[in-house]
This record gives sequence, structure tokens and C-alpha cells, in this order.
Amino acid sequence: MRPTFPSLTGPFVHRLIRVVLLALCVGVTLGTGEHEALVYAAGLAVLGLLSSHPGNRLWVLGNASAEALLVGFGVVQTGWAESPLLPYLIAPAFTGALAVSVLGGVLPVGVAAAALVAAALLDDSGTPRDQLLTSDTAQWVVLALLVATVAAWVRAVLLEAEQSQPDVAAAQLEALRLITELRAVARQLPGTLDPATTAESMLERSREVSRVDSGAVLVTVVGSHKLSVVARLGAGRSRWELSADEGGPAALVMENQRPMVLEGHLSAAPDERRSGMTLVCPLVSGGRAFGVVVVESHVAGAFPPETVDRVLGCVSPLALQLQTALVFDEVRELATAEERRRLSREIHDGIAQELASVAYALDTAAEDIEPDHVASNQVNDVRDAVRRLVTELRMSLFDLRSEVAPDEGLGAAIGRHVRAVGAATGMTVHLSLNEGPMRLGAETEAELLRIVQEAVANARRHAQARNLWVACTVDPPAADVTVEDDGRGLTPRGSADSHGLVIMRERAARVRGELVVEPRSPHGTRVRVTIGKVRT
Amino acid sequence: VTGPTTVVLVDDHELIRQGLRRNFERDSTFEVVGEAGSASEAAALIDAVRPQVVILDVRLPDASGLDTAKALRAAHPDLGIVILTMYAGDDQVLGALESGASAFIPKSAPAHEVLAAARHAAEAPRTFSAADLAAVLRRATTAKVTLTAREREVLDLLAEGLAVAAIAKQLYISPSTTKAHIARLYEKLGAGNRAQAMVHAVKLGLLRPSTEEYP
Repeated sequence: MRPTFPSLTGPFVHRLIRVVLLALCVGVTLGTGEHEALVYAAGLAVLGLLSSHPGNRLWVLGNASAEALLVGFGVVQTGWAESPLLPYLIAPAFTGALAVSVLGGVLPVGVAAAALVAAALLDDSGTPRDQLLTSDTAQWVVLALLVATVAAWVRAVLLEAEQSQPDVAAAQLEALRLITELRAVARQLPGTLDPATTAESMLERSREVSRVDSGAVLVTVVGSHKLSVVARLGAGRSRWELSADEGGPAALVMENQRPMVLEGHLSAAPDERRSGMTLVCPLVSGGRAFGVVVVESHVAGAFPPETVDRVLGCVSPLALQLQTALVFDEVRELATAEERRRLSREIHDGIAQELASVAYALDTAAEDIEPDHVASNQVNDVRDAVRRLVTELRMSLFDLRSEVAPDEGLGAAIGRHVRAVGAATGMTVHLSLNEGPMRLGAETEAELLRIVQEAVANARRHAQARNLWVACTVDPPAADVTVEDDGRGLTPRGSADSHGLVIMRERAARVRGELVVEPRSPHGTRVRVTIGKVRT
Repeated sequence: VTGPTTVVLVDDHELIRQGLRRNFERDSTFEVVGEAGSASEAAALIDAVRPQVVILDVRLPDASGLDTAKALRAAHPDLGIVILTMYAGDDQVLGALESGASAFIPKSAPAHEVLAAARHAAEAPRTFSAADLAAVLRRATTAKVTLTAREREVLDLLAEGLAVAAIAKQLYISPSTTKAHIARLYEKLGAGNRAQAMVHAVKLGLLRPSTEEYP
């Protein structure tokens, strides 16, 4: 059975209204000395208790009408307009409307009004009728009707809120199902849930159905007006430096969610746009555009409407998969970044502080001990060792906290990081950055920065290097980062795990990169990670 | 003869406060007059005991140490403020500088350096001292402009006085691509013409014989 009361206003609310109104009536009664009203008040209290008990609509309507009838009768018996019971008319109006509908409030009020009119017509005490039915009485009736309207409105709002709750639950279930699916896919088939693979197959399929020479898939970068290149097709030095700024072709296509054919090549420099055509298709999922596919052909008239439709037919079905892969990467990166922050806080507040305080205590001990005491050298050695550990922890914290800021690129972040490490450790840093305005994906940037951190930490920690050469070329979606040092080089035994090589390799694989670690001539180590092939 | 320099220690880790206190107590020129574990405690304590120097951790449970330093600087213009931190990085030093602190010292530094920083802060509370400050400031100004390898080549050739066509020829790129590189270079340097670009590049340290060159 459908519950009579919206669950958000249980019987409690109904009882509260009645108790408050009854208290008011009794208060007024005691003030005026119209003690007969107390009998009716007692009757109303009993009826009120019954009415507040949950039941079906008929029960509520019947009780409210009975209440209203009793109020009417009481009012007639206890001085008409001066009756202290008149305000109680609000109770059945409110509870009836809240439980059933506006009718549920109006009906009891109507019953009371009818009772009053009937009583006035039948009255034989000789009092003029307009003294019985005064404007005061009418005011209370109107007020009760107003209250009924308000209560009905409250009821509608509450019901709507309740009914929308099952939708939320269904959406959550659907999300859970998708995530579970993602988990299965991500565990079994690492290649398929990858933005680059999906984007590349968009371009490949487009080439199969049209005369495309070159192209790129670009998606919006969260929190900026920039687009990042997920995949690229064709050789040459095409510049896919599109932005999602207002008025540009990418912005127009995304805004209208309709493809656009342009004369010339969009990827060429403005004054080098040769003859040819460019087709820009929107990437839409869930009604929202999140990027564009740009394909170019040297053939004039390469994109007639039917070809545009064919390209769209290749691109659109993969849009959802691409966005899912992008979101999955984003979520994974958010989780990783959050875990690193948590780890950094934990180290900072725990072991780092304790070690630092031990170092301070050893400073005191080293000063207290006589310089020629046998233990003096030992204390000094221990103090220096602990101090080195604190420094090491400080650098680890710095690594954990270094992130690529939303408004800077990978090169800028790497530059900032290695300069700071160089300054803190006395290594000379030689930096070479080659980075245009286009960005890599956020996860790629983050993992590449972490690989550089690991390589630099190795050079500092194990190799005791004096010089560090860091080169970074970003040509989205390709990237090439090299870290070289002139330190002792890798130790042949146990190097695989002691230098974090396994972790670096995993990080590289996560963003489809390849990691090469090799000795550098005459001495030192070279760590190089490449994603795709950068164009020079 | 003035008395010892009065010091308040602010750090949420009691062991750190203890360790520092012992080191300060060994030195008769200092007197530790109070300890606090939070920013609000620190503010009340400093108002009450009026120390000459406060040693302030940058991470406090109720507020950032840098915000606390700002508030303390506003309330006590002559208070020596030493920022003590476990965090590394130039932005930490620059943040301390901007907060109005008198000195910056990492927690990895030995105790005698903390005492030296406190001494500096007591003597010159409105100046700023930190290890390697000059290098930090130099990096802060140069790090803002990062040129690509191609832009660097173009900049060097511009500095030699070559015309656009000559640069294009030397680099085997088209004149329009060269122009695009030059336009981006001017934009990065905040320059409107070649002369301005040269001046700004020299100022930013981009036109010295560079040590930041990949072999």
C-alpha cells in the first residue's frame, strides 16, 4: 500500500501541528474563561491522536473532516467568532492537504464552514446572523484554506524529491556496472582502453574511407582552453597547434557539434596553406563535445557531403570509447596523485620529523661530548648519517610533491624540478627543452616527470654524479626525454631493483613509452624514455 | 649589557621543539621563553610574552606557517621570524620571502645553523636571509622563459644581426616559419622589436655563453 504520509513528514509533524494549535486554543480558553471549550479541546485531542496515526487516504480525509466538524460544532457552542477553538481549524486543513492533496485540506475546511453556516441558519436565539458569522470567522476559514494550499505545495515538493531518489540509485548502479566493466578490461587488455590506440584507429578508419593524407585527434585539456594531441597521422611537419579558443574552427565545430569543411590545410603555417581541404569533425559523447578529429587531404574537393558522412561514421562510434579511456586515465592519475600527496603528508608528519628531532638531539650530544673522548668521532659520524637521511627524506618529499601544474607543460615542470634538485645537491644541471604550445595528456606528463625524478634521484643517490644533462622534446602525442649523468654508472648486480628501474619501466609502459637504460661514455648512465617518434 | 635573545618555538611536533630547545639552551645568548604547537597558540603566546624571535614551522595543524608569518609580521614589525621547514624547493624560499619572514632554514640543517638564523632574525628582522638566496632569485627570474631549441638558434642568429632571410637560409627553414619563430620568441621575451628582444634576453640571462646547453 502506498504510504499516506510522505516519508519526510512522518506522523510526528502532524502531531506537532496539532499539539501546538491545541495548546494555543487551551491557552486562549483559560484566558477568556470559556471553560466549555476545554471539553471540545479534549475531544479534538482524541481525534487528533487518531488522525495522526498513519493510514490510507480515506482514513485521513475522514478524520480531518470529523475534526473540522467538531471544531465547527465547538465554535457554535462556545461563542462563535469569539470562540477559542477557531484557530484549530488550521489543523485538519494542514494535515489533510499534506497527506492527500489540496482537496484533502479544502474538504475539512468546507465541512466546518458548512456546519457554521447551517448552525447560523438554524439558530433560534434571536441573535442577528451577521453577528454570528462575522468577518473574523471568515478570516479563519480563508486562513485555513491558505494553509491547505501551502501544505499541498510542500507535499508536491517532498514527493518529487522522494521520487527522484530511485533515479539516483539507478544511476549509481549503472556507474558501478561501467566501472566494474572497466576494471575487467583494464586488467585483461591493457592495450584496448588506451586513448592513443582508440584515436589512432579513428584516423586509420577515416583514411580507409576518404583520401586523407594527414590528420590528428585533439581533445580538450581539463581546466584550460588548450587541446592536447592524442594521435597523429601522416609524416611531415604539420603543426596541430589548434586551441579551443572562441571563434577558431575547433571551437566552432565543438560548439555546433557539426562537422566543418575548410579550404586549405589547417595544420600548415598561415601563409603556407597550400591548396587542399580540411575536415574537422566533433567528438561527442553524452551530448557534450570533448574534442575534434581533423583530417586533411591535398585533393581539392576531397570532402563532399557523402565522404563527410563516411568519416563521421568512422569517428562517432569510437567517441564514447575514446572518452571512456580518457576519463579512465584521468581517474587513474587523480588516484595516483592523491596517493602520492597522502604519502608525502604521512612521511612529513611522521618519520621525517622524528628523524629531524633525533638529528637535533645528536647536535646537542656532539657538543656535550669531549672532543678527545673515544666516542666523539662515533657520535659525529652518527649525527652526519642521520643528517644525510633527513636530507634524503626531504628530497623524497620534494619528488612526491612535484607535479605538472595545469598551466605549464612537461618541459617547464621538468626544468623547474631538476634546477631545484641541482641547487639542493650541488649537481650542475644542463637543460635542453624543446616544447611547443601543445600539451601531452595529463597522465603522460605526470608519469614522464616521475621517471625523470627517479632517474635524477639515482644520479644523486647512487651514482654521486657531478653533472646532469636533461633533454626533453615534446611533440604531442610523441615525447622524448633523456637524463644522463657522469656518475659511477650502474652496478651490474642487483641494479634492476636497486635503481628503481622496474618502477621506471612500469611507468613508461603505462603511457605506452619505451625505456632504455644504458651506460654513458666515458662513465655514467643514460636513461631515455620515448613515446612514439618526435619529429625534428 | 642587554639580556639574552628571547625565542619562541612553534612546531606541532613536540620532539622537534625539545630538540631545538636543548640546542638553544646550550647557548647563553638565547633564552627560550615559550613553545606553541599551533598557529592560534603561537599568536596568543607571542602577544603575551613578546619574544624577539619566533622559530616557525611552515606546516601547522590549524593554519599554514606562511600565513601565520604574514599575520605576525603585520602585528609585530620588529619580530624576528625564522621559517623552518622540511619541504624543499625554490617556491618554499620565495614563499618565506614574500611572507615577510626574516630567515629561512630547512629542517635538514644542523642546529647551529638554526641558531645562526635566529641571531640574524633578531638583529635584522626586516631583512631576509636564506642559504643560496641569490641563486634562488636568479632561477625565479630565468625559469619563467623557456625557449625551444629552435627558438634558441633563432635568438642566437638574431643577436648576430642576421636578417630573416639569412636566418631561414642558415636553418634550412622557410622564411614564414622563421617569422613565426621570431614572433613567438618576441612574445615569450615580452618584446616588440629586435632591440627590445636582445635587451630582455640579456637581462634574463639567455644570451650569455650558456651553461645550460645540451652537448
